[in-house]
Amino acid sequence: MNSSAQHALGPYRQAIQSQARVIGALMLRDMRTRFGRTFFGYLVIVGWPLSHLLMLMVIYTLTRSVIPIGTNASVFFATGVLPYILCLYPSRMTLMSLVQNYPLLYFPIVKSLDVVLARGLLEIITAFWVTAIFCFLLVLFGIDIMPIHLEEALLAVFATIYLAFSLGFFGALIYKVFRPWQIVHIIAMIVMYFCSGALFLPSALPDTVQYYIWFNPLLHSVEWLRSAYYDGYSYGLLSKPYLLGVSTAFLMAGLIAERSMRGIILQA
Amino acid sequence: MITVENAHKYYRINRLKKVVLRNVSFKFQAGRSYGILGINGAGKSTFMRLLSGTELPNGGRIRRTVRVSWPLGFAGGLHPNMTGRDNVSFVARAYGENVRETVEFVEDFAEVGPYMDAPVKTYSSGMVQRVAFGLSMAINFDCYLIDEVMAVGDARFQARCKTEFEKRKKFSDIIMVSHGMDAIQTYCQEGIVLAGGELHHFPKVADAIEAYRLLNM
Repeated sequence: MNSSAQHALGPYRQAIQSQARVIGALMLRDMRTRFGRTFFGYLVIVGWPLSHLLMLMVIYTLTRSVIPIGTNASVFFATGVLPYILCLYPSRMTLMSLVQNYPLLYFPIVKSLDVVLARGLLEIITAFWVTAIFCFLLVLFGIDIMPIHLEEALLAVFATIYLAFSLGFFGALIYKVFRPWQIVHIIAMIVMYFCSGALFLPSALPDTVQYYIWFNPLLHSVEWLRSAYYDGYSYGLLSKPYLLGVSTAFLMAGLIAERSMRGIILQA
Repeated sequence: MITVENAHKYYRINRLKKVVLRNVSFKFQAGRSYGILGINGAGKSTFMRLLSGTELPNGGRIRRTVRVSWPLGFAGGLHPNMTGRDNVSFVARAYGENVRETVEFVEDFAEVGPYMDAPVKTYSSGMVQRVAFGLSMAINFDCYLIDEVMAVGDARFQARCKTEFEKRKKFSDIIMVSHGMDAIQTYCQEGIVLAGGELHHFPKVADAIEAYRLLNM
């Protein structure tokens, strides 16, 4: 690379470095402030969704002994509930980021995009911790959660977190200018959960019902994860491109919303 | 330093449209300090936020080629539940300054003592302003935007601000909003009167003060 090209890259590199610094500062600040003023507050950030997840697991495995597939009820419910938790918490926390951290936009170096990205990245890291600790605990209790296709299980988890991030990203910008959006988001999450097949087998439902619940992206998360556990599980309901496509569409819509509402967001 | 290109800015309050800038163009030159004058409600503070980038114009552009501060004045930006130290650390990190040095500077400058480790919501308003002001002084900006800040604190603190500003004048420029003509005359070479959505530029600050006096009559 000649020197003039390097010079031309300079401002971009500087801008990226500056943005990375801001995002890093925001993440550190977020970990220290969300629950209490110590670093241990981060344990609560991880522990909250984790305890929700474990509670649901205990309730389902104790109250429902008959499962539609496989021999292990814990595995069936784990593969259904984990995508829900991985979608619910990161998306909701990211959704609230801009409203919560709005005063920080007072510093011109902090952009609304940085605020949402910082929270989103922290939530992604948290989601991985939740997944890892959850699996570790299941193993401790002697439940064999090792999937047949490990790489498929990991991809399903990645895809679910991507969906959560995108929904949260889009939601954060809408929520800033339209407060009822949080209610819409929460209700949508609950509906998505009950239609996701976490507690039943979608392929056992009538065709018309299957047709409608197919549009639920969370259903594809669950199907994807289960396809890693049960051989020949997927009966044509799972569409990976649909899940990734919906997530990407929300992310794009969020980016467009950020660009077009930048002035309104700063003023509101 | 800062270029205002055909900027348009309005507010809508109860369907009443209030124009702050009407397609204004202006170039702030590096090495010069500007005083901005205008009657109450002319939009001086809005103009400062536009210059800093914490608010955007409805039309046109505002370009900054140097590091411009946030509008110094009140306590905006400090998080009430965070300690003074954490607040200062966050801003230092975001601006890529040395965290420890920045905290030390603010501790020394704001003189809040042990309150540095208490949440900002427990501060008196004077303490908040001193920390906020010290924080902006701890970061090296090429251009400081000052919105009526000289009235912060007691006489002793004001004297410290003044010496700090005298030091800055060598390296940094100042754009200042004030109703105190003494402060404007001390710190600024050029004057701008904001009235009716237009900027009236006066190369000599004394002429701007004269025009402002006429506006007030």
